[in-house]
Amino acid sequence: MGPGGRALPDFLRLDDVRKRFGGIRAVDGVTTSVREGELVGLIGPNGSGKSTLFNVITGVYAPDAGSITFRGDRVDTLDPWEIFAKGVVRSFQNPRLFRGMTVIENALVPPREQAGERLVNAPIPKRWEAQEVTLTEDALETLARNQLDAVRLNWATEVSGGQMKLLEVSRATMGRPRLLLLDEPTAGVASKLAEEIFQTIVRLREEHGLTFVVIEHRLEVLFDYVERVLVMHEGKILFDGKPEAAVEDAAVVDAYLGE
Amino acid sequence: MAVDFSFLLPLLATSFGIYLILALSFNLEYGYAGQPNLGKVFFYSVGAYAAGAITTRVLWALAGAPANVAFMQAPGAAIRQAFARSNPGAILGLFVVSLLAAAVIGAAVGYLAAYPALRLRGDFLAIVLIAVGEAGRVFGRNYEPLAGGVFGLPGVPNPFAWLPARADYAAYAILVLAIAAGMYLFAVRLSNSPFGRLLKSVRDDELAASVYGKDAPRAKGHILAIGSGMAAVAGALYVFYVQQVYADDFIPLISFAAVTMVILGGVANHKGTLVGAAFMTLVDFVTRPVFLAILGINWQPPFDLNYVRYLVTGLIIVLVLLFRPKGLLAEGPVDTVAMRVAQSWKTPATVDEPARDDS
Ligand SMILES: Nc1ncnc2c1ncn2[C@@H]1O[C@H](COP(=O)(O)OP(=O)(O)OP(=O)(O)O)[C@@H](O)[C@H]1O
Ligand SMILES: [Mg+2]
Repeated sequence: MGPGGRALPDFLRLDDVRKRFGGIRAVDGVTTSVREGELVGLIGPNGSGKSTLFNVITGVYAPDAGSITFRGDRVDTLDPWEIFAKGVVRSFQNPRLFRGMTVIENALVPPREQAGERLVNAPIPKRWEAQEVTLTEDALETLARNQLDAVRLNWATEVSGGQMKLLEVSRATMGRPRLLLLDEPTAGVASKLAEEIFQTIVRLREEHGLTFVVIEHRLEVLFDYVERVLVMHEGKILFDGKPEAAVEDAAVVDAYLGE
Repeated sequence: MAVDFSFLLPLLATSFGIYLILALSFNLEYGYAGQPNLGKVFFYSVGAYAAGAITTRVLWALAGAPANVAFMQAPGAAIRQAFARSNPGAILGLFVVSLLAAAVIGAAVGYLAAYPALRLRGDFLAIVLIAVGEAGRVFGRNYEPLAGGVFGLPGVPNPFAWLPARADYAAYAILVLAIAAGMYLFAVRLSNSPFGRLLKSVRDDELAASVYGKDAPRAKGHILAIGSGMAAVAGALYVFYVQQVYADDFIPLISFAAVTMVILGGVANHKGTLVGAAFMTLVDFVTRPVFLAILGINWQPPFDLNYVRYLVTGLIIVLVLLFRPKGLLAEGPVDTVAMRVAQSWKTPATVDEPARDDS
């Protein structure tokens, strides 16, 4: 409730969002909302439409129908970089690293308002060098927290699969998000490190008030950290509630067993 | 026959400088931003036409434009040349204005011509731009008011026409090399800046770049404007060197020369463009009849030597792609501010680094 008891607009709101690929209804009428500061898990069997939902929210695909608002503004007609500018950042399930760059350079792509990215400033280093040094130090700390400092100078293609995944997540956090959508951040990562990734999520949430939606197959880890899960099945939201209740829900159990 | 170096060196140096600018421009577009602008020759010709049209018309007006002499024919050209020889200030000023105009018009045309193509994938963009280049040449051939159509436009003086013979070519060669060196430094700075990183992100994964806030079509528009402005400057420099504009100089081979230089030297490596430009200058030179003459060989090959250039260019692309797909010099870790900071960085104790799991 906002001042005077008026309801605040939802942070992220989806209304009857649909996306199909040929005959496949990947997202089939999703209506839901996320409040500011929430940490929501998004689960569901393979192919249930979780990643597609992220793709639609971040402008990778325009939805076929429905509307998406972020902090009160329609975003479903915007280009991906405009949605990013509003504060929605995501990571990819299969890391999409910039292959012709080093690890540290990958982490330096998302930071906002880089003076040196503007063509008029680029050839004049003194207009952007100080900012670049600060951003680089920030990025190096983020890499160190994710155990990537040893490979910071390597090409992004030279690191292990687990490290690629960690870089994928670290890079997303460099985008100073308001809403961070993480697509299976711990897939392929040792279980100890998986816990650490979730601890980072909790820390970012506490220190910076970030809002998270996390797709995750490792339910045993996820359920320790989230207070709300959305369960998707065949493009629809089947369940929305506490994780303890999800495992008891007959429809959810069916969806998973019916795989 | 003794080799006349006072003639040969300026020729090679000028050619090298012009090729270097073309290679740098293609490398920025393709090597750094992933946009294979195979219409390079079109933007080169835009600069050539701009420089030729401006210089000849203004000189003509300054020289008094006699009504009984044909502007586009030899006597008209002679009047322009004569005026330039006795007016150093005028021709140098015109040269500077022509170069700036070429850069600005080239950049604007680069942005516009690429605009409808900006949302195309790289390979489609390449095909659209080859077509644009050929269409441009056909237009130039058939549109006399611009630069004489199929007859061309003679009488673009060397900016140093007022110097003694030979010294004019030497001075011009030095100027071209200086401009090329400036372009080289500009290209290095641009690609080592955060703007360069933005270009690489679009090149490596356009979708991921977009999701991380990069307006990819805008970035492509910017780099095609820069690259086209540079190519136009190269075209203008060429025109002041050969002292005429001639539509059929602007054949697709020039675009492919740009590709060859970059692929041979190494994509996204500016040092590679030096290798590429040196190589192309040599190929160009040894496949001209003048080379045989210099060697004292009195042999008329039973074929057009120009075709050897096409052959060699094609052969080099194939050989390099087969045996050294990254070129002679591969893309290296670059000397950016970020890399320097990262190299000397020590993880501070304040970053509570979790115990390493080396298992
Ligand atoms: N670009 C695409 N083109 C065609 N079909 C697609 C595309 N993207 C997703 N799909 C299909 O949409 C459905 C939902 O896929 P999605 O990747 O969203 O599932 P998911 O819940 O993320 O699955 P997983 O847990 O395996 O990652 C699947 O049937 C998939 O094959
Ligand atoms: Mg998925």
